[in-house]
Amino acid sequence: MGKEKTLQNKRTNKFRQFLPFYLMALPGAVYLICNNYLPMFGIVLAFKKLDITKGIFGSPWCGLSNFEFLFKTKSTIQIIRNTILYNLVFMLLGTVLAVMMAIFLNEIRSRKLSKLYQSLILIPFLMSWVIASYLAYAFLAQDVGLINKTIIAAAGGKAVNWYMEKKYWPYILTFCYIWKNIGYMMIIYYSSIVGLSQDYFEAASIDGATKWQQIRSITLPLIRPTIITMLILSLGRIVTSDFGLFYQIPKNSGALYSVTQTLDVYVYNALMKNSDFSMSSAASVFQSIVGFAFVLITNAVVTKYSKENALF
Amino acid sequence: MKSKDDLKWQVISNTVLALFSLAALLPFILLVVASFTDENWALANGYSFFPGKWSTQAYSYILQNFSMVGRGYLNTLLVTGIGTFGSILLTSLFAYALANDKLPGVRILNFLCIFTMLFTGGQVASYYVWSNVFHVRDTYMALILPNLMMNAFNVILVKNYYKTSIPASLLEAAKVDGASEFGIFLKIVLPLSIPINATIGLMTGLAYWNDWVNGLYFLTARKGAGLFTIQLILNQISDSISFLQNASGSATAGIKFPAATARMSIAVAGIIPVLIIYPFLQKYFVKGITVGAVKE
Amino acid sequence: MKGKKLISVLLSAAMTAGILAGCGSASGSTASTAAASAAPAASAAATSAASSAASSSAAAQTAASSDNGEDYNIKMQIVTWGQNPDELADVESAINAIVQPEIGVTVTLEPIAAWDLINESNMELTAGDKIDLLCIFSYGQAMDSIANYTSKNMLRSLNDLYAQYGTDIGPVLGEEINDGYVGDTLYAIPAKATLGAGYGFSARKDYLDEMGITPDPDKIYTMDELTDIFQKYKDKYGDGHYALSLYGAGTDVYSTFNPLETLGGTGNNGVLLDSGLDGNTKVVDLFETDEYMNYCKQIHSWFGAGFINPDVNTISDDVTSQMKSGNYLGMVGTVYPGSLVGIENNVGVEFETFNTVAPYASTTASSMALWAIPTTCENPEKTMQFLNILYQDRDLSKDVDSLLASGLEGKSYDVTQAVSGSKAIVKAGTGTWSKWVPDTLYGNYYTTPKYEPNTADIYDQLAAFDKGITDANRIPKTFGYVFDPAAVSTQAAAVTSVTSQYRGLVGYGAADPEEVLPEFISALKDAGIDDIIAENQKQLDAWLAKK
Repeated sequence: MGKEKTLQNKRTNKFRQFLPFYLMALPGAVYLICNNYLPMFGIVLAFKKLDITKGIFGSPWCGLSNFEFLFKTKSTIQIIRNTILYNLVFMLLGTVLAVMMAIFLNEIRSRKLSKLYQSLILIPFLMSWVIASYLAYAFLAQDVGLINKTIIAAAGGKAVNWYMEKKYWPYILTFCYIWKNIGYMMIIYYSSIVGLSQDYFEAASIDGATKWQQIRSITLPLIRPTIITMLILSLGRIVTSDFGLFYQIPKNSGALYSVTQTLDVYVYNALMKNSDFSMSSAASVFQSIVGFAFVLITNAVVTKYSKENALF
Repeated sequence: MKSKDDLKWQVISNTVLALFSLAALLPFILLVVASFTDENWALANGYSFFPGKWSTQAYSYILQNFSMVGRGYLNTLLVTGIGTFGSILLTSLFAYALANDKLPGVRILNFLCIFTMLFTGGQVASYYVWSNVFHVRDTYMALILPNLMMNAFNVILVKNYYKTSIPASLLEAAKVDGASEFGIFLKIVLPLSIPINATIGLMTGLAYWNDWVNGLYFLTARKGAGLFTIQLILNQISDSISFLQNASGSATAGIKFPAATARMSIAVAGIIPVLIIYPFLQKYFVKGITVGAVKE
Repeated sequence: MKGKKLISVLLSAAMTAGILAGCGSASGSTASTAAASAAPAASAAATSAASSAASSSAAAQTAASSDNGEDYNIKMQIVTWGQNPDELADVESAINAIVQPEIGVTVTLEPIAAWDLINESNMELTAGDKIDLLCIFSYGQAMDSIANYTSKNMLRSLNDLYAQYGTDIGPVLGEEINDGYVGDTLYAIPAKATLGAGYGFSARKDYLDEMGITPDPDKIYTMDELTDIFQKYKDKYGDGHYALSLYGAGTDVYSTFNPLETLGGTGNNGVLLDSGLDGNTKVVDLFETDEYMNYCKQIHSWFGAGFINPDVNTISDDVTSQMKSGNYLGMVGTVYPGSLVGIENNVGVEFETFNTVAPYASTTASSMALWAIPTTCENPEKTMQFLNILYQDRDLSKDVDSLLASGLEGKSYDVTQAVSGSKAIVKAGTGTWSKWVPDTLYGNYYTTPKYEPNTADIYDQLAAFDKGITDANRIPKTFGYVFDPAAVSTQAAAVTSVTSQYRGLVGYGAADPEEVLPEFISALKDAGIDDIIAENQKQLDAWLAKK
């Protein structure tokens, strides 16, 4: 009897102890349920032949036929290769550059300059891809573009038809991606660097450590969790691409497809004419499942080697 | 030795950041210059930092509709303000619970959160839930609630920040002093997490500022017109311009659209207010850094 | 442990709620469909409102009010170029003042931008929202079709309603009613537009005058003959000037130089060469034909000669601004009475046309706007009665389709010359109707007001245009046939993607067709074009057999 009571007391105590946390999580959880989980019934659309008089749930099942169009073209492998390779390059290059810039930014003494750099580097992030594509066009157009008209003409070279020459595009796309997103990524890492305790740095500095040593042995290890988290999260989107970048910037130029077409662009080009919700839902289910698998695998690996950095 | 090292880092840092800033700034300047370039000159001679003929024609369209545009800015400010505030509140509370490793079921909560980043029900389902279950159509809530209020990515950022940058010893000490969990959150955790809140606030604010998809789906042109945000209005103008590209030669009488340069002016109109407001936000950002630096 | 339980309870509750809500509305709309076809619509609406917790209060109100024998409110889409016209409410009440006493309906106009139309209609209908009159609108390369909706069972069959209530529609439409049929079922009522169109190259008159060229209106020009004119322009004006203004929409202008029946699509899913005017009803893949190869070679030579802007596939400036810039001689497109008024008003110069294809009837040209009654409509009878009124020719002040097409007299426009009935030559007034609402989508375009510089004889020209097509016997056997790609939707999606890669490339001359066209054709084969062509032929043969 007595034993049971203390157990119950313990339980009540534990409940009391954690109740505030559940209450704190409640509004967010409710929001996720309303905004994200309730609409998940939409996933069944991917397996249905939609008939609106029967409703989404009443519509007949159609197996995996909505997925077929994803694998119907000869270029499927090329498309998936583009999607994954670009994502990997963006992930690695983006992370390295962003961390580097965040560290540089942290070194800037003058607060005014630091503010100025932050504001300026963030400007491209404020523009939509559509606007960015107008700008890219202003630089790259064969006939009226800045590069052909001003730079190449001044150097006496021959005008390049940029939108027809696919060899340049892996670089152009990477440049555009970095240009647009670097400010945002830099600020994410910067905010985790400024959150670090100054004590470590002061101690190191007194010990005569150079800046480079400090960065290598203090800053980088301390922001490693953030870096790992960001990397795992971007792996979850490994087969999802930034539609605006790959569709707007190359202006959907057919000559460039072999290096610019990603899964999202393919889906858009295939379905834009008839708003087929079932097929577009199938495409996003495919992307989700691949991304989910990647996240589960990497998370398992991370859990094995450094449990505290695991996502869940 | 030390100061030499220091100087070297100052020089490198400033050079690299200055170069990146320039790369970010130049296209923006081109955007502004292009928006003030005479349309026909641009079409004939291409875009240039030094156009041969200036014009404010591209802005005339925006100015003609000034009352609509003005109300659009007001709506945007309101939505951005409320949305961002709500988002920070929701996110930091939720993340605080997730950051507590001892909380029973925390791994599941974490997983449920991350799951939303990977799987979505799609546009149709989201539209269905918000319009037919919660009836947000043609209300301010339509611009605030769907999709933007909280996302898993920000939750994880904040959670990570709590874990790495808020010393557990501080929380323990407060608990020993008899502070409640809510008290600890309000008095210790929130003040210490201004940098991360400023960061996610900035990102969420931008998302609200730039959003037009919610408006497109949840506001009808009839009843929702008074709620149109600036991006929605600009987007419509921009769309009506590009429409003509598809329907060349359609016999619609009397439409006179600005075209290429007007798109630039529309982009400028969307960005300039952010550039004006951003330095004010940055003050908090910098303040957050200071707080972060002196803690412990 | 507690946490786990709490969450799982919360979640399962939420999921159940979601599923219930989903099912509720689904069964609601089923009920409404089933009931509406048998019993009066009012009771259907009531069933739907009662059975569906998620159904909006508006629907409940409608149900209640129509139970009392009050007016039915018709929710009608109004296509706009992106903004609401100022006089929207005025036009709405003017229409209500006419139709309420006559047939006991009121109308709510729901403006919606042309480019959002397809997606939003689909989304609203999928979510079960009420729409009474759905506009299926095609313009330029943005093609919509009845099949887009019937494949999801979104439209009501109109056969009986049309026979019973649509008596004024048939005489106006004539042959064109065929555009609304899929098989034996009538799904939509087309707005009366021209029966077809001719094609031509329209050039700035000021440049033509400087070069001393005048087009012969009775002549059909070939691509070769145009080449000479383009060369003259190039020689005279030099680099940076392009004879042919094109806009990069990932397509071609094959149909400008050859009659082509696209069978209700954009030409990707099989076509009839010569538009089937020669009586041949064999569906072919356009891109495999010799004719297409010849066209590509010709336009590629134009591209090489500098008649076409090298940026053509990526250019962001529409044809109007290209023409305005003064660096282009002319553009290609459809030709019918009044077809140049819009561009002349916009550019501010006169144009003259070199005809390249004589007018012929085509399903695509005559079905720019189709009006359908979706399954979510609660009173299809009244809706059809309303639609019928749009085709009646009345005095201008009582003419509902003129109100929709041109707005309110004295506000949207001022009459400069009354012709007869609702026919009048007008000039824009203080309102913004003409600016934001296209005028070819409602009722009978042949009797709505026309803008200056059109003159009163525009109405005769329009009538003569149709008669000319009929008299010349340029109505293909397949007129009215529309291909439904639902059975081959996988292949169709893959083919659409392939054509978006290649068609603009060869179609505007940027790529050498000898090299790229074979690649294009083999990619189409891989995507399953042959299945689509076979299905298209099967449907067409069945359609012809029934006819």
